[in-house]
Amino acid sequence: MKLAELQRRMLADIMLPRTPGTAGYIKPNDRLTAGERLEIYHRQYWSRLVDSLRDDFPGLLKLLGPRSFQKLALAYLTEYPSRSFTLRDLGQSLPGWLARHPEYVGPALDMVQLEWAHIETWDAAASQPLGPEDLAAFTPDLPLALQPHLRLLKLSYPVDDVRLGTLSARAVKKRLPGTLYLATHRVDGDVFYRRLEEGEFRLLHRLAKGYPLLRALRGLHARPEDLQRWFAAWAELGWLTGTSARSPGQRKTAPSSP
Amino acid sequence: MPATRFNGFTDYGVGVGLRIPHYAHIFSHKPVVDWFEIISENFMVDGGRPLAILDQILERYRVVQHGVSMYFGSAEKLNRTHLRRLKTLVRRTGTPWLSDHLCWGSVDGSYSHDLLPMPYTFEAARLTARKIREAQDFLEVPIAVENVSSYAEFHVSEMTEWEFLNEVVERADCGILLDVNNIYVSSRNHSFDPHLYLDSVPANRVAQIHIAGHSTFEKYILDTHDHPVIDPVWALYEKAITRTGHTATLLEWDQHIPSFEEVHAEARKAEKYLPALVSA
Repeated sequence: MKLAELQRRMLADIMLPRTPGTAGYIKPNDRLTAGERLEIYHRQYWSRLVDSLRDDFPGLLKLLGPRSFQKLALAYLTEYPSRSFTLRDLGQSLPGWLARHPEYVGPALDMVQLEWAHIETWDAAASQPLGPEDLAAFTPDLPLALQPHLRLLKLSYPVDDVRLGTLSARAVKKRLPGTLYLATHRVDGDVFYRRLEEGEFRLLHRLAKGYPLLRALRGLHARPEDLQRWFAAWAELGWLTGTSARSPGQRKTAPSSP
Repeated sequence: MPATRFNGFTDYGVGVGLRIPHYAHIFSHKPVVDWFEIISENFMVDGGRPLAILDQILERYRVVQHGVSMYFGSAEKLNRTHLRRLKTLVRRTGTPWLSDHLCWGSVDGSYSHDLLPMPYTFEAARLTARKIREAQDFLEVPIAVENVSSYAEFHVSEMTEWEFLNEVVERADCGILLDVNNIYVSSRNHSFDPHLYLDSVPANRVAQIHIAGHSTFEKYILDTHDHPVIDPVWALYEKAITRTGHTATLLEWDQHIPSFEEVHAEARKAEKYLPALVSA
């Protein structure tokens, strides 16, 4: 058997959600059958990947409970095996996968969006924020870049409170859906969540898409005092940067849905 | 080995794997550690705390990179995006050599995140060696490949594991990260003589040695890195050092990680084998 064929067969067996049966390409020994030897790798694969998802999505685990989480993880990983060299990326397709599974809509979907944004914020690049002098020299026809670690979320449930431990999983599931706007961002290496006003969210979303300020403001009907307040807060948080920090090979930083 | 082209002409002593639970201790107590081994993949990111921590470590300590996902033995091509990100990190750390495993783990872009055993065939040796050479050329740093613990053997194998290791490193002209715990684990799982393995390793190519603990089950041994090093593994280490001379040595402890002092003390047991050879 050629190398490529052997590896394709073995990895397919390892990635089966159930225990693989025989493994004719593996030699048994005096203690273990070929299938039992393969099973060591099969067990390690599933345990490592499910543990990784559990570590990355503690809020989802809290919402679903261990049994449902395990079921979800197996179903998701069967459909979306890892396509990245790093386990950090394992959950990148989970928000989209969850959105296609109606049994998980509601707080669970919001929580996954928040937790994936948290992961991206954690290790995204940072740019030099604009200082007071830069802002004074700024003209509204220029594009304003945002911090690459900033993520913008439109949610229906206060899952940030569940993640922070100030609201129970049971309580959030009893809430009626509403609309809340949230940013995940980083300060001194720690990830923080900040609730946003609707207009603030919409403006940030447009700026994140690269709109010059004048165009971003079009149709927004924001009051001057609100704009002043928002810009003051963003400047203080270091969210405004003059140029894109993206470098070749760097992951694209994108806002979530408007 | 003492300074050679396989370890970037360095003479590192006993190091410890850099692990998150130890960060606070390291930054507050600033222990004297000869060098830290980092898992490359944990720092192949664009920013944030991982790189800030790494930069702080680099201000005070020497760092060597150890990877877990190059998969030199996978039949597919090297991942160029991965290599570019790795090279960025190599430039940041100034690692004198870089190690990864003699294994496979990905097929058609799907990753197992495991260190899967090679079939010991000439076809696999040729392909693996070619990929190591390509990576070494691209990264511009010496590469050392590590023997892995394994739990399965293949019908198609045409040679022993140590013959395969020799075949690969000679073809690739690369170094070896000799993991004596892995030799022990595999020797128990596959019933071979670990001393025969050690005697067959080309000592002049050994850039680094790994020591670690493991877990014993009824029918096999698992490489878990969650226990102190057992005496038979120390015996293999002593034998290895006798053959290779003073060699950079690192203790791996990845699960149920005890205090930094405990891990460091366990690692430093290796020093009792090293000085005798320096004076010899």
